[in-house]
Amino acid sequence: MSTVVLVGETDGNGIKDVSQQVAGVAAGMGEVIGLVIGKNVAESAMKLAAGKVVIADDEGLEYYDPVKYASIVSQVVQKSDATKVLMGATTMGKDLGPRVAAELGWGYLGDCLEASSEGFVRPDFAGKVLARSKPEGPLVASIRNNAYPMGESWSGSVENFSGNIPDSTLNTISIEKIGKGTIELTEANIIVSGGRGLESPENYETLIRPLAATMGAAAGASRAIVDAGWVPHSHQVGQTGKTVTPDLYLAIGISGAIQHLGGMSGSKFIAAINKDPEAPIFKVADYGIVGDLFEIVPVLKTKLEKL
Amino acid sequence: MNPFHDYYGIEWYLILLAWSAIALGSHFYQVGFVVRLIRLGKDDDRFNSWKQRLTEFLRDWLGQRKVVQDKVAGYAHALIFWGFLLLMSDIVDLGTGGLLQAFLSNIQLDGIWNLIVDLGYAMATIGILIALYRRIIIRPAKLKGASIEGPLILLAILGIVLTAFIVEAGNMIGEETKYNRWEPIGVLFAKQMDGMDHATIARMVDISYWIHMILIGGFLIEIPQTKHSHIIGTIPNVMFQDHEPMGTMIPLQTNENNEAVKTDDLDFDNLTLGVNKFADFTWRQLSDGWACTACARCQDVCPAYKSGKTLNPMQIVLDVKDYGREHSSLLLAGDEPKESIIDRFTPDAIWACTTCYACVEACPVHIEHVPKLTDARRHLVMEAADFPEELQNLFNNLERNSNPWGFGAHTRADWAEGLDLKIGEPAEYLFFVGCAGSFDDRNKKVSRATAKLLKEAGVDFSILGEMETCNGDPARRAGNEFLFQMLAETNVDNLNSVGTLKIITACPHCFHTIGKEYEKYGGKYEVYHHSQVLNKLRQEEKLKIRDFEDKVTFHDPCYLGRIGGETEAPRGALGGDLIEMERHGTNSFCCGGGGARIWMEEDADKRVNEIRAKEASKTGADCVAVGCPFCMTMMSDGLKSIGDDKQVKDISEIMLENLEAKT
Amino acid sequence: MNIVVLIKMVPDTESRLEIIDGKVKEDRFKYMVNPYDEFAVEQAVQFKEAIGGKVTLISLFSDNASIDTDLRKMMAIGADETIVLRQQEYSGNKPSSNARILSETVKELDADLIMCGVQGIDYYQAATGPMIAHFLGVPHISGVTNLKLSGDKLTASRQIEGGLQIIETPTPVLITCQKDMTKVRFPALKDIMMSKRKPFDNRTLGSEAGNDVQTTECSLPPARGGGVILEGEGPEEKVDKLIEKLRMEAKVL
Repeated sequence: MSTVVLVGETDGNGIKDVSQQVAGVAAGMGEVIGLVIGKNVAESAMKLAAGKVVIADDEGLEYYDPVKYASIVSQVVQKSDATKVLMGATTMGKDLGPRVAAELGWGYLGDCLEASSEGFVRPDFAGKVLARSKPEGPLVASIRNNAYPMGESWSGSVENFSGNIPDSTLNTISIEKIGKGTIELTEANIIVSGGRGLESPENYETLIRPLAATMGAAAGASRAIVDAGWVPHSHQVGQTGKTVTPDLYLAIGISGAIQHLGGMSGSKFIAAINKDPEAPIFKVADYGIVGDLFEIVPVLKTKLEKL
Repeated sequence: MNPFHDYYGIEWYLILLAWSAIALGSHFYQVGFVVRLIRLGKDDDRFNSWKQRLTEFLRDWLGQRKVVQDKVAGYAHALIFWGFLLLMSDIVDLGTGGLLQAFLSNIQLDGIWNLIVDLGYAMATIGILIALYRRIIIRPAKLKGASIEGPLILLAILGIVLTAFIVEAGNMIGEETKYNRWEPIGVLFAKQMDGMDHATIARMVDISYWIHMILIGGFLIEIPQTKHSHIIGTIPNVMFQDHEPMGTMIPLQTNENNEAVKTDDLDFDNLTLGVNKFADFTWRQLSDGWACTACARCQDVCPAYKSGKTLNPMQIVLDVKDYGREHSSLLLAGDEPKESIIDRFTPDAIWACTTCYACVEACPVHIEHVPKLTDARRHLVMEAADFPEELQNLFNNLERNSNPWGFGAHTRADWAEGLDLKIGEPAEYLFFVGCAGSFDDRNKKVSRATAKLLKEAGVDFSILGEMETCNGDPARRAGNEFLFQMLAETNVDNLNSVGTLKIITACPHCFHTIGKEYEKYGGKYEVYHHSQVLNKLRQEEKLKIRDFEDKVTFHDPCYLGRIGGETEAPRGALGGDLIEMERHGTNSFCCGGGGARIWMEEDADKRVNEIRAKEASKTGADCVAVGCPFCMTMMSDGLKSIGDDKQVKDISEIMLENLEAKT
Repeated sequence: MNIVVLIKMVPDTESRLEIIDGKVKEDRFKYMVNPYDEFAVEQAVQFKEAIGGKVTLISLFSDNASIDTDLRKMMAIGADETIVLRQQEYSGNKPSSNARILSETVKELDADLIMCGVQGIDYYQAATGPMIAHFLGVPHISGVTNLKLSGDKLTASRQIEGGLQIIETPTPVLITCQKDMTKVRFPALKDIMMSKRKPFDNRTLGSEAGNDVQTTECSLPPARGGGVILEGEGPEEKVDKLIEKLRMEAKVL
């Protein structure tokens, strides 16, 4: 029976959802040893869904440091004879995973969409191609959060990490939190964008921004309304504004002129709401609603809030 | 009586000699100074086609052809100009104390000569009075803020004329008064003066003579320094006008065969890219500065100026002159002033130009405004790497995907799906679709309509498909000559490999660039705008088209009408009764999309297309017909902005709608 | 300061994607410089302009396609030298093997700072950078949105969920650059042309063993049923359908 080391991450409320999901995946591949690294993480660590949890808790581990963390993971792996290391595809996971793989001399698969004992699936070319693999040797993998069922709650033993924590010349001096509601367009996963169909600047504030907030999305705009002065240029999506590649681009009251399309056609999914059935945006949208946005947007927001 | 006597013991001719020396000395010194400045410019060999140039000079300079396009100011000027040509010889007579008249009388020509001179003075007077009336009474809007210099100069010329008549009249009065019937206006003056006592008349004649000479001397001194320099400056400007087709830009370097030198072979150590220094201009670009009359006709037709942007084409031309004068000591010493030409023009003005060439078309003295701006753009793009951010996307997209929007080059022929067209095969014609027609949804419809009409008429044509790349116009007008050359060379290779000689295109920019500018890159083709082909097919009844029923107005594209010289074919192709906008044909007002401006930001209160949209709206037409994909986009946007839901359709779409099915 | 920037050539995102026999057809790909790497080049040149030093570019690629024009543009931003490693069996999907090769070349250069983009837009594994750091035995900071140099210390802002981690580090260190770290200048076209006078250091390599996982099969994602207009009696029904699609099909909510 093979052993899998699962690197779990904590957040304010305990273990991150994605780590619990990966724990569920790991359980299908062998015996799971959970590993949580940080400072004052013992309580949260015990919630990790793994048969055994190793906790590396130290003052010097408060902030993520690839040199220290990778070394700890390698030591745990070597001590436990594990043949796989899994973690969530978070900013830490995607950073730590490759370094661990290099240290162990193992293969690496990052940002996997699917993972099981049958094999792994990764997105290539910005998701335009799905790449399947069935690795036979030992492997490190970071796995995207998805609709995986979360692992069963922990029911095993706890152990404190007893190995060596190396020194590192990296020194974290602070963490800056970015306020909610000002998500950067080029980094957003979801963008709610408004156009001339909104008819007035007030409607941007009453319809687009609240919907974006509900969806945890960034708010964007077409050139027409930026030119009209309804929103600042930083909101503009399109040829002369920003090029965006979110998972979901929701175009509201935007006709879809070629200059705008050039800025968002790289979106994974596009949904559009527009009263003109001939609007060019519908040719590129995956999902479209032909209708009055003044009726549809409030309904959409209410229903999303209830989810 | 005459003024030819001594004054306080000094002979009149000595006083005149002294004054002439001062006036002529100053004049020639100033002219020499201007010539030295202009000679700082680079070579431009226009010393050819002498017969054509002489004809043009007589027609345009002497004949005032373009000047009289403005009826009031134009004819007023023509009268003053021709009048002066006729009266000019009078100065010889007055300056020599009557020797010319004496000489001519020996050969019986003095009578005719006197009549001609009087006629000249009369014409000038009428011209001046019209001009003064226009300036002081009519006060057209474009003269708002004009300096007092204008009326003063007119009054000064009037002074020259009146004093001449007084001297002329005085000559007829003496011991015996003898009216010279060859000088009818002189006679009129003489009759008025007749009653006065002779001492007063003598003084009037003396004073008039010297005022006359002082004014003329003053003019000689002033001419090279003010806008009057055009009196001399227009001579080389008109004589050496541009013989290349309008709107053609020139390659960075050409070889002996007048072909563009390949980018790899360019001699960068000895090549300046574009213009940033005074001496980067050619001599002919510099002489424009001194040919300008400040008539503001270019300003009046400029879409950038009209939309409130900082660009004023007249100011650009005058900037060349002013810059030269202000920095003359440094420039003539071969040094560089801290302020560059681009600093003087200002980047805002440089980027505001749509290259519509309305300014060049309007200019009576053949000034070439646009190349000064596109040359400045070349420097900004290729040397300084200082240009609007939006153009960076444009350049990257053109380079990587050979279209301005960055769509996958392999999707270029998708618009033709289902039409069963020949792709990449030899045929009689090649339909060069262009980027908008290939990738922009609205314009794909135009490509389809055009293809359908051509098929219906049995025209044998093929398209290049994926091999087609952007013709390079946006790169070239934006100043990126390297990129343009790369695209041109690729297109020429592909066009030649398919054996093309005859090309049809629905885009006037392709029509212009491929038809007129590709020759220097090895591509000599017959290029037709689709309206030309469709018109011919309609006239030959290979396409049976009903006359349209809606009220339609046609917006002439700049690169087809004014720059391309084609205003008839679109109208013939459309048929029916068109409602014409006030500014149509070669006077068409730009939609604002040319000069790569369609990819640049525009302030909301300075929209060129809204101005044109309002003009179209005023016609009351239901539909605006266009013949260019840029116009299609800009007019549609413009109309929407002003809240007008008029339709905008291409010529081919209107024709297709009214196509009568074959029986 | 001696800075090495690693550049990956990646297929243009607009290239046509065709899958034949479970393999992506790559022979008609057009290649371009990975946009994330451009930030690294620009930042490196800015440091050089501030405190002096040398910027060397290294790119590992196959031996078939021409990448000279694009690399020249990077040179023209202000780099001093470019080393191009050509490998017959190169694949962009072998982070471990590629990292080994690149680190061998970097070791020769005695670099204070090694920079590259956080990920390649072909495979998005974000793996090569950290792996090279390990092989070089230096620490790394990835996903940096802001990098400041003062004296011999660097201060990096590393992007994390909901904020930034501010890290100080001495050199040597490897930094991977996130989007909008700095504004990449458009090199003067004249400089690009003139950079042809500085030839690249082209080297041919054999293949290198690694521990990379082989892809067994490629496929296109299930067709989206492109462009479906959601019908319904009224707004309520249409919205319900939209939410269902977004949750179940697109899995973006």
